[in-house]
Amino acid sequence: MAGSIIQVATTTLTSATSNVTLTGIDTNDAYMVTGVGVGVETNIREVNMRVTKSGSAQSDSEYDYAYKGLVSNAVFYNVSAVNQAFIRWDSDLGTGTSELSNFIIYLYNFNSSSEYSFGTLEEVNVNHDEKASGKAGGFTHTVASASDGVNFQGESSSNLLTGTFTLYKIQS
Amino acid sequence: MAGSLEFVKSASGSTVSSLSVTDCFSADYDIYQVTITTLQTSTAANIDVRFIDTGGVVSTSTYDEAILILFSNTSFSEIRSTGVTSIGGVSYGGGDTYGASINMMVFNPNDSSSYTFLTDQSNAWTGVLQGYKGIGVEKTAQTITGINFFPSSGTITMEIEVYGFKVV
Repeated sequence: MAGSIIQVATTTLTSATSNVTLTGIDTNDAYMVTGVGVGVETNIREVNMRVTKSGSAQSDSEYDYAYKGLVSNAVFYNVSAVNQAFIRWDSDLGTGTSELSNFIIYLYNFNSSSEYSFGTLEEVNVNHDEKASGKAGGFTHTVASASDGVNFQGESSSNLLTGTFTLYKIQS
Repeated sequence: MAGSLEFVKSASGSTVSSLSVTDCFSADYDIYQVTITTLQTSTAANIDVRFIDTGGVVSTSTYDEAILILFSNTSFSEIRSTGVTSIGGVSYGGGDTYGASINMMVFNPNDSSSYTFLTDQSNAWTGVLQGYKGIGVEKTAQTITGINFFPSSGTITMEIEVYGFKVV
């Protein structure tokens, strides 16, 4: 029997890069993005994300997001914002060997020309302070047109240094 | 077309002090999904988790955790710890037959140069519905080969299935 989670695209970094793009969303199925061992080149930098349309990362101020921040050494906190230029991870990664981010993102309605693109995120990292933390929440790009992928980049022009990013289709 | 989520291994136990899935993490995958069903405990108890390396269950003070407990009848609460001997409270057993379930993602267990990371989501019946949303990290750069679950007291009954996300 054929499986229902089908790989669409993947990128594994072998050197520093300004951004990673995964495209190939072209059906009304839900999709899933995984990230493992994602690291940044500059200390205390986040990973930011945008949706792509026709392969191009959308830099408009149309991103809303809301997360619960789970922190191993402090009180949990809320992250929320509207009309932003990107979806912000708020992970403050460092440059230590294991100061990395790992995540699962589910993407919904991306292929719709009349609905917003939505996603949920669960993420776990060790930050620049060598403490474990994570995020649980969701985001949307408030433009009613089809999106075909996602783009990741480091905060404030920091390069991404490591990681394997993979896009899967959850086939109906 | 073959799917990218592949079954790796399962384990089950009835009224045991702990349950392990050994040799389930390998270089074949970087991300694993661990599902637990039919979870019951002999008495009301937290469900804790440890990883397994080549020397056995890792019980050193090398775990960090952060878990949000979502109560259906009262305010939510937080579990947060650094440098502890397990990831504690990923779920709960009510000491009855009504059950609980857990879904986990484990990242990079086989990479000897990386820590091992997990995310956790579960729900349980404790007389009321309790949900759990959390993260944990075993902060030793080493190869992890398996996973171990145990109750904070009493015995546990559960079924564990491990799947790997294939990347080609």
